[in-house]
Amino acid sequence: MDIKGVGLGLRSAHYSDILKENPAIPWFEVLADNYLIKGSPNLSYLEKIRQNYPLTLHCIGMSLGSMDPLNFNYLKKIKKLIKIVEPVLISDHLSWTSFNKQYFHELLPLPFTEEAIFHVAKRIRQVQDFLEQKIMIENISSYLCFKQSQLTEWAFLKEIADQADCFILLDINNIYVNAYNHQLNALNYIKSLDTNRIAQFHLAGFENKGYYLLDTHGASFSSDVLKLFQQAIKKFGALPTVIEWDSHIPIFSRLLEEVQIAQTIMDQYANII
Amino acid sequence: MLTLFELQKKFTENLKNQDMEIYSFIQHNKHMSPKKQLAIYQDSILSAMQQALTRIYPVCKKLVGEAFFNYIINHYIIIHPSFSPDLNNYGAGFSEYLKDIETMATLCYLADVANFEWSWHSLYQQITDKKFDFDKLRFYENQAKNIIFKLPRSAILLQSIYPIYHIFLINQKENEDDQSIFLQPNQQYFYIIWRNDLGRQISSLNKVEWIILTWMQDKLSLGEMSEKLMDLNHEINLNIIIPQMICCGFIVDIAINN
Ligand SMILES: [Fe+2]
Repeated sequence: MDIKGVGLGLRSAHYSDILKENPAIPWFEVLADNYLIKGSPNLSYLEKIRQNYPLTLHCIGMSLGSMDPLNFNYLKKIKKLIKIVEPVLISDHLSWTSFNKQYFHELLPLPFTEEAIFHVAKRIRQVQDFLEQKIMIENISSYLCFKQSQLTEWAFLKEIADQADCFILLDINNIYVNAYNHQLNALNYIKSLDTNRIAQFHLAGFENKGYYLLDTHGASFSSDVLKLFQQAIKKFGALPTVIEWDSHIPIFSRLLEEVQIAQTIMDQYANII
Repeated sequence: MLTLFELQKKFTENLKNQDMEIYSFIQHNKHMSPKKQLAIYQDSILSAMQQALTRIYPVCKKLVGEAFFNYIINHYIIIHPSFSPDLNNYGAGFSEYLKDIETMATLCYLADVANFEWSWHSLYQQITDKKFDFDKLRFYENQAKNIIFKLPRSAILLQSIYPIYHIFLINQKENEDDQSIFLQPNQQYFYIIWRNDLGRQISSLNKVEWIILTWMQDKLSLGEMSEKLMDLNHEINLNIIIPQMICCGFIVDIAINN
């Protein structure tokens, strides 16, 4: 199954709008961790929505960069969910969320080192073998860098994707946030990322905290992020794009407007290529 | 250079107890010191866990007030890390934790209310069972004594010496009614909560109903329950009470005990 255009992150606040109105959204991205219990109300809503829409699964619990053993209990649940909703693609983040069995519920940054590349790529391959399909890894927002990093973030991302033979979910907002936080050139990130592994884009909003940008997913995407999005489309093509909105979630019609804005840009810039 | 293991260890030690060893491994940022950069992560982690507990325990928060609630959850978060990738599983031990706080003695029912709120929250995560199939009763007619009764897989039986459901109800956001509570000595309250296709359900029980339902959870057969009731010298007729329980949705299936 193929997906095209701008989709939306599915949030429980909008179940009834979606089921009632059948909006013209090409697909929904689902936060997989909210649907891991068979027979739960969330899952029954999801199954109904799945009847009308293709889905992608977005995970937060794989902890791909952690030194802990992979949590196969969690992965088994993801695999069961895959069987139920047959997603087009599955993703998780290029980060770690757990250490010594403790979960921090935050996407923690990795050092951009050879050791990390080897470790994470090996784990992604194990996950892909277990799930019997390729996954996407997403670049995260970060608020610090490690001195021992030997590569740029984009080189690290590309190298892991190559070694793991996986796809990349490129979050445009996260590139912008990191460029601001680490005094980098965001456009240079896009220009320098040399890969054909990107399968999707993410768009979201951040909060400006003065000295840094916080990736809150609680606002509309900024005009600067949209400019970067244009450049990403020019370089990588009009790839399927998801709008994420997780805090201060607006009414559904407001999200449809966001989709429309992103779709218009995609249509314009896809034609330029 | 730290190995990835050492780096994650030092990083998490800073998150947990502000250990400073990781600072020298963080790149200098012209706007923020390593301490401030790490504080962004600390705040974000704390905030996610605070939000989880606030979402699960709104009545406890209302009962003790926002400031004191934040104070106790911050302490709880420090001593109770999360061991599940799913934040919905975080906070199970909050009721036990409240029992140990001496200043809580004036609000004696708080721990029981927390236990109720946790159980109520956990129903979101539970399986919804199918409705009772009455044909099965006819099918097992000849083996009545060996029938065991299945409660909804989501069912939780609760008991307290405080009217916890009443406290829960009058402290809902939208409730503007009188919020006084009259605690009666030597009183006990029994409840079953479960979920069905209409959502989360609760019913108050009398003591015998509660006992029978606990026997059913322990997989006692109809014959065994009849004998136990005789020992208790109760004039309860299971032939009347069980169909009532089925109609109320407390029993969703039967099987034969081999
Ligand atoms: Fe994202």
